[in-house]
Amino acid sequence: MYFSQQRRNWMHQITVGFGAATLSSWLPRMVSATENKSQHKSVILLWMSGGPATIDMWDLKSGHENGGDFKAISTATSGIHISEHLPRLAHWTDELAIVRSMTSSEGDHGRGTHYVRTGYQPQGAIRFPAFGSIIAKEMANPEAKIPNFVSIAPTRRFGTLTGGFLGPNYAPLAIEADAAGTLTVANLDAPSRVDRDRVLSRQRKLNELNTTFEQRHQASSVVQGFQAASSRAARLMSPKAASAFDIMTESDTARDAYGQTSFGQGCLLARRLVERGVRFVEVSLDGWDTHSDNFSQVAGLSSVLDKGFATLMSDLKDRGMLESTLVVCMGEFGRTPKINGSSGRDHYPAAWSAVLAGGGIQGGQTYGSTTKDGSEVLENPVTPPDLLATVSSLLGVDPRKQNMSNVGRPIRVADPNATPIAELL
Amino acid sequence: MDLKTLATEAFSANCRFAYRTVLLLVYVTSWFLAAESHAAETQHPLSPSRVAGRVDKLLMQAMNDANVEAVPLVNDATFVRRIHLDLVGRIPTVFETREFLANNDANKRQQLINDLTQSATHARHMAVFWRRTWIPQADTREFESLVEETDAWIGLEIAAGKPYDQMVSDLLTATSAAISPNASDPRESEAPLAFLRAGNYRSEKLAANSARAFLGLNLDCAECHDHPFSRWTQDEFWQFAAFFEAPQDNESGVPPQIKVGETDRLVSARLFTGDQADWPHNPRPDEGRRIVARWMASDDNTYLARNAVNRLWAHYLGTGFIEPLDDISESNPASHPEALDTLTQAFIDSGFNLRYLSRCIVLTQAYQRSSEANGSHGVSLADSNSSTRLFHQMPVRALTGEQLHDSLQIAAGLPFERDDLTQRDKFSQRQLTAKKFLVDRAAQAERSTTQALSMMNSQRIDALTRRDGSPILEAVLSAPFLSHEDRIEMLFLATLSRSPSAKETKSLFGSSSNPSQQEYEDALWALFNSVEFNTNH
Repeated sequence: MYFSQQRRNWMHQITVGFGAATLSSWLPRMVSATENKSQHKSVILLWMSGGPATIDMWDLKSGHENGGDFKAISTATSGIHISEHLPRLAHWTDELAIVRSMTSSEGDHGRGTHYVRTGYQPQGAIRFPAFGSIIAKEMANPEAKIPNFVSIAPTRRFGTLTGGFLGPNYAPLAIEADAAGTLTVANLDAPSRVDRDRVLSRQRKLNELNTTFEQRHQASSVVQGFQAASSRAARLMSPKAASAFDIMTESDTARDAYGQTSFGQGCLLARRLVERGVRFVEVSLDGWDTHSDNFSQVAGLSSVLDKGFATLMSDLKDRGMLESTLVVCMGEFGRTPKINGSSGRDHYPAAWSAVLAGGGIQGGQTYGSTTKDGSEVLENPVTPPDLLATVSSLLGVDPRKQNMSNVGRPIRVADPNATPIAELL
Repeated sequence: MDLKTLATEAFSANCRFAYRTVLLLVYVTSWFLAAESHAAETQHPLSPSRVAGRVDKLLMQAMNDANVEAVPLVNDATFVRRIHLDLVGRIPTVFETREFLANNDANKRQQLINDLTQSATHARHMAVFWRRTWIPQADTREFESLVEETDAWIGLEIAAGKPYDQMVSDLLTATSAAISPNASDPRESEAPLAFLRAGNYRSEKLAANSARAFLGLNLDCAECHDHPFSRWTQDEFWQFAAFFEAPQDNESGVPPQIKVGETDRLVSARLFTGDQADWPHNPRPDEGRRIVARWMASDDNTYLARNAVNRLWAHYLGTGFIEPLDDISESNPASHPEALDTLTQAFIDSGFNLRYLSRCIVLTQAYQRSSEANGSHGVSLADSNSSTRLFHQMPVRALTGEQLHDSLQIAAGLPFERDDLTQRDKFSQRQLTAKKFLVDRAAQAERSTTQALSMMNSQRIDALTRRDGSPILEAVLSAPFLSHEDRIEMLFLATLSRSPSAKETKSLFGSSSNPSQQEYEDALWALFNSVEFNTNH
């Protein structure tokens, strides 16, 4: 692995060379904030695909004509009100930080998704890694049997998440929901005609072929890397590792509490994976693209989210995992405050909300605000890169750290203009 | 189905070409003469083997100076697999391998190289390489719709023998005026516009993209500030970008201007080599791009040829003379400047003939060296540091997604998938595999757990390793005249293009003298998943 070592040294030099010039004022604060919190944290991203109407969830405009049908209800935290369709989460607001001043310039699903999930707007030939891939790399647990980045029920309509220029080692392991909502790792199981004994016999044969080849190509990092990938895949197929994905071993009560939806079961699976040391898990809930009939759809989706998210909070708390697990809930943009002629809301990146919980975040607060009609950010605007810089700071990953991209230009973990939100740390 | 049919199915799959490939063949035949006559107009380039000999001599000197011994050349079986993967993007069929091994002609490697570089499949394979070099944006979601048409266009131009500098010029000066909307020939389609589209028609993007893709110059940093290693100033970058602006004043004959980044400062079009550009009166809107295209192809500008040579060398040898590939500059010297010069000059003398350049490179001993370390070669071959980049050993390279797809088809005895019939069907099996197994630099590639699982358990691999979905298994199992050893040998030839060792036979079949169908299926599964099958070595 001589080459990898070389490359790391080289990148390190670049990091030092570039980083020194751009120390900014928030750095000392960030360092002190993260020093004690950086050990073995994980992230669960609840991905609201399609652009959720956060104006009907986290930042209601009751009394204004843009406010729509929903009532705001009071929560465990005095002064914070959220949608009536998130009643379980209302009990958890002391642990939540609701960012009401998210703002972005990307109102297209593909570009918006790229921006929020990588922290960068699409730029020509640069293949940006998903933020989960960056975290998987920076916080890699080399002993883990399960890849450090797992994506549950991913939506691919708006682009596939990849390891980008970080390479396939950091690509997410996808867990797909089948038609019945059952979650399975693609290709984890051998074809049904091949029983476990036969799988083991095949693996043994493959291993012997590979060992012979590897002995003849000892200096090759490609050979070692490919051999290692086969071994990782084989380990993942072992019943013990594969059992991490088997949520049927959870009690019926637990499964019901999360909700019998692929999102609810995905939240349960996310908790199991984080328990086993996975650093970044995302669970997608699709369907938020509510151009028409917004309110009945958002009510239904909110109920699914409420069940999964709130149960996840209580489960993490009960298991003593909430301090070390950061939960982030957001989508690619918000929706127009003005309600359209079909009782719908359209794409609106200028002002929307995201929610963070656990992981050492300062809960029980809202951050930033929007105007009365919800159309503009009133104070403390937060861009997607700011939010990702906040997350990486919480995890103890330096947002200014650089990785070499596929176009030979170093790219930081978070955009150089991003500022972590100190009030949340 | 009788045995003979099956054998034909299994072993002559390469004879079947998709619709577009047939088209390519037609074009090759009709334009071959034209291409050769173009080459004849140029100044009689050296024969490829003489160029290769000169390069080898220079590389050998460097090895001697470093006191490093070259590893031996590969045997015929390794060569025939490697050269097929590199020149036509797939492993050889059992028939092709056997024919090559049985050939006693001392010149057979050169003969095979000539044949393969003439083939339409070579043009199809290289089109993907040049598209990734010129328009890397097409591997991102935003521009993936450019892939099909661009590949078809480049493939046809390579097959037609169009000189490299003219293809670059076509990309730089493409106009939508030249398009006939329903053209069946991609050369008359919108395809050449792909380069401008991938740069969003923005001057600063097009400047950075063309410097990188065509000249090997990394100007990106200079867009926002002077280059950190003082290679390019911000002004030099914007002066180059100004060429991509439309001239403002039609009468004046003065170069167009552009604002430097976010500032209000204007700079005029100026070439960073100091070469003078002549601006005509009444310039065309794309005059600047035309000037850049002419300047790139001019005799005293070797950047264009040097960059193509360096990238193609890196494609075949795993590492360039200059690394990173897009950082050609005086402060980043080549590992073997004279060898690079030799190839660059030969390429220019050939009239920018890509087939000729490929022959020069793969005829070198450097290309034909083994990838096996024998213990006495302490220097890591994957090291990209120029002081130790010696090309004394071939690195193992990952197959690209396209190579993997086509090689699986060939190994299983299936024809190339006819995905070219539906040009707009971007979700064909081949493209899905290409995307899923995308490889950036083959000599440094990695593989993910997801990719490995897909090779082990996907429906496609399952089908290819069942008797009823795999013509090679059916042929091997149903041929009554084959011994057990013959059958195993056939499986190895089909997948790894070589015979098995006794140890490997034992690994796969134990001491069984009459293995079951299941054992053959499992052996094929292990071969498909082996590192050896998934790499070029």
